[in-house]
Amino acid sequence: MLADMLLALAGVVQQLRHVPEGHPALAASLAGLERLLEGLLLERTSLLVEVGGVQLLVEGMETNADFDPLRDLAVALREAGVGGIVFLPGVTSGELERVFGVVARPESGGGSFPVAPHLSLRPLRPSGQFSTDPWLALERRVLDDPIRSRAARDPSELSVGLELHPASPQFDTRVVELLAQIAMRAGTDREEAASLDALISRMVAGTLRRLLGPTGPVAAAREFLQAAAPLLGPVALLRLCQALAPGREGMISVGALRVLARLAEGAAPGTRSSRVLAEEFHRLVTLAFDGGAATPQIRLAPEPERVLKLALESGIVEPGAQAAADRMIARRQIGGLLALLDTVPREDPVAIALRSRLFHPRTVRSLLEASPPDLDALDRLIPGTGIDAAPALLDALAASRERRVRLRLLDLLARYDQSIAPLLLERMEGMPWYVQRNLLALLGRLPDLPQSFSPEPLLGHRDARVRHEAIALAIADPALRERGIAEALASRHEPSIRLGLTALAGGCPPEFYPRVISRVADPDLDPELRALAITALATVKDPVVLRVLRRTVIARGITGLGRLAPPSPPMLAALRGLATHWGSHPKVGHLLETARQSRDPEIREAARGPMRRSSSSPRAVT
Amino acid sequence: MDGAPRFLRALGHALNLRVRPGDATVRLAAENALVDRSRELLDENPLPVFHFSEQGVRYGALPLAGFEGWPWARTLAGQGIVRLELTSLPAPAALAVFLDLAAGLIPASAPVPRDGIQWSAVDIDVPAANDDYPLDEALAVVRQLFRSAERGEPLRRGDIAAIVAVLNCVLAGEQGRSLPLLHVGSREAYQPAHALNTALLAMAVADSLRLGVDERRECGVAALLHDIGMARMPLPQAGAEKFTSQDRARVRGHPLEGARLLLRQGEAFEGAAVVSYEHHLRQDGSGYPRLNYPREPHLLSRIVAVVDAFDALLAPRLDRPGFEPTAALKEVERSAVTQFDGRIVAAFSEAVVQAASRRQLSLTLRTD
Repeated sequence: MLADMLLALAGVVQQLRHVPEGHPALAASLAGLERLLEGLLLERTSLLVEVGGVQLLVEGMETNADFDPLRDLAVALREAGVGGIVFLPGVTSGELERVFGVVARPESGGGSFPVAPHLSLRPLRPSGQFSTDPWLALERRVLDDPIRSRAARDPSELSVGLELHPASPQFDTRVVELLAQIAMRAGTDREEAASLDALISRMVAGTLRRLLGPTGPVAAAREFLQAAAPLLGPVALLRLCQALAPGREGMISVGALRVLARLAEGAAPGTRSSRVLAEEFHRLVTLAFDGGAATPQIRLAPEPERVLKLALESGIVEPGAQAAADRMIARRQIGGLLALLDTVPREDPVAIALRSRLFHPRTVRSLLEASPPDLDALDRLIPGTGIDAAPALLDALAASRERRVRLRLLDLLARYDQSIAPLLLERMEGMPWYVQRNLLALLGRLPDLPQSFSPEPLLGHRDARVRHEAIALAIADPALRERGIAEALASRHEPSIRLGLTALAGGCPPEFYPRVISRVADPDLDPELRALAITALATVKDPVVLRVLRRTVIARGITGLGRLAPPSPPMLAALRGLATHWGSHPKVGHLLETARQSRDPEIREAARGPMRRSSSSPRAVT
Repeated sequence: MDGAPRFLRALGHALNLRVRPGDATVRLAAENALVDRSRELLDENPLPVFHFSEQGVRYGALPLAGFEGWPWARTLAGQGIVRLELTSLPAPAALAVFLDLAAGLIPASAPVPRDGIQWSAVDIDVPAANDDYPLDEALAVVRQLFRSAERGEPLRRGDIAAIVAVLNCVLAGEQGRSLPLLHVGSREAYQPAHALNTALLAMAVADSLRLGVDERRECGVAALLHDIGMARMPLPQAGAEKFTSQDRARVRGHPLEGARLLLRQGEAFEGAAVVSYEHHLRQDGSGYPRLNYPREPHLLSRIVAVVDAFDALLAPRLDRPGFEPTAALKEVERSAVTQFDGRIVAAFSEAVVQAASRRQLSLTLRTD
């Protein structure tokens, strides 16, 4: 019947993979599996199916590794991270479908196992595959009796064997792994739990400490304690407390162990006191093992702000107060913490200690790791943290996928002075284009470029956006200005062309004249850029330029001869260019006069000459 | 497994050197070895008891093999040391005096410290003061906690957890809730007993308030440690009939001292630190210490304030006798409006009255 059930289970998992939900064949298979389990669970309180490498283990029997359906089932369960299945009486086809649906399609589970009242999945453990019978394996190993065929589960024999067997890391690790397997099985088997309890109760503290203490196989020991502690009685747990309390003097005194021993002596098995005591010992074992690292979240734990008020009121600078500040920081209650610190003088020793935790790169990283990053808090934190915060900000800038966030980070980074330059330069090499682009933009915001840096190599970068930033830096550098303008004018990247043309607005050297005039003549170029090109061109005293400017200002066509063209960015730029640089030319005076009398205010304004506004809008980078 | 024979051999060796004139360094090394063997033995068995007689040594209930007719067993029995028990790691000074006494170098009637090592001339196990729970031993652990605090040493988390475990078991007793409060005679022993009583009562209140298991435990820890700052406060002059204003001023520093000591241990005792600091703050804004950031005391502090006041009323003071429990309860209820949180007082009354109605609120006088 067990084999039938496993086959039915294999069929259900297979169907859940391939058959759509609600399919009649799937419903029939689920109902069949439910019936088989009902029959099996009539005489059992639970049924545990464990998962080995390519085998399943049910009630001490392994399945045949060469039998494909069950081999596939074992592999599927293992791949889904399932180490065991516990069926309880009353399991329904609905529960089967829901739970094994996640096994068949692990991506649908969101990384966790579904919970059902009569069916649960246990995760795979680091100790890996189960042996046929961990008791037997333990006895063979501990008692050096490889041909033993049946486990005796004699706690005295095993405890003496464990004490006498020569210790070695391999031996200890295997023993603890087997104990962990026993403990996991014991969760559904009272007899096994009792045997384990008897064994632990008889083991001497030194052996337990060697196996389960910090110098032993820690991962397997943790696994064992997690599984075993809820199953053991007070005496066994007391043994574990004794064994695990590290160094006695620091963790627990002999007197306290004596108190616990008295409690354990007096607790009658199966009573309420015994259960409470076992719970208490369980906690102590955990405390002893992990040093209380996993302190449960207590609902009544005081708010960290309260602890900090206490510390500030009384001048207490102790680890507990600092931990409270850390907790506020971890909860990203930066505003509250800053507000509290604002209530005391800057030289207050507690405030100084707390500030050193708050204004710390670790805090900056924590805020940046939030989703979304707490940019407002960062805004307040960066000035106090100084350059130490810059690496975290630069990391976040490289990693962020949100333009809004990148812009804010750039703003924050742009507040640094020249001291950030080395950090920017050391990150430049080998970075993706978007990181290099941002680093260049930041360099561009510094008062001076670092002497060791030249944007020249990046003028030939394969990405136009990086080239753009390099062009901007080159144009700003007197030594590279002409090269930068040349690259800009040769570019097909309009923002870069704009950079070049803007740079020429004050005067266009002759060597750029051909390129600028070709831009003016380019009908596909954005009118705003054409206007910039005309502005640059207007500075050149050449008859061809005058002709270009006049043609742009005067309307074409038979009827429109002599009349002004409708206003457009190129027309207005040409008109302004004529007024600024060609006003005294005889062919221009009448034209300007006409323009000044135009009804169009933009035309009248352009005819007056240079624009009042000289600064250009800041460049946007992301 | 062989801790007992190793301990006895070390004891025999130390005694042999005691009675033979010789090098003091060698004698000291033997005493140190005996301390080490004691530690090993306690590691193996937290309740080691030896019985010495003409016949040899009994360890617990069984004769110890290899020590039949052991000469030192006869000598020790002759010195009135028939039953020897290690209660904790013996202090070196106590061990040295014990060895002198055992070797017959000082009279058996001489007053000797017995830190960690107990002996008697009678070969019977003294029954625990409380048949069900080791409250006496728990009190000794609390006393040790206060000593550690006094010396500015770190507090052992395992000890505090163990005490709370005992109290949890007391509250989960098979016979229903029981509140066996301790009442000690000596002024030095008052604080540890008060700490234990307060913790027990606070946990009972936590139950009345339907708080969870972890919250009850937190309540117990906080109450147990609420007055730990007192360990660092000087006691009033022996023989004084009243507290002087200077004594009062010193005592008013204990909340701050306690909070400092507890926060020094890291965040493990954060709740206890807050309670230590706030348990003398009152609902009407009175009390101490003075707050720069006015706030209502934390729930844990409000619980401990009530049970602390109740237990303090039970104890006699220099200027008044101790209250009867019923009168103390009335006194606390009378102050509910002005000083305490009324909801807590109601829960406390329920806890105490319930226990009293079952005759399970017991006061056990300990005279040390």
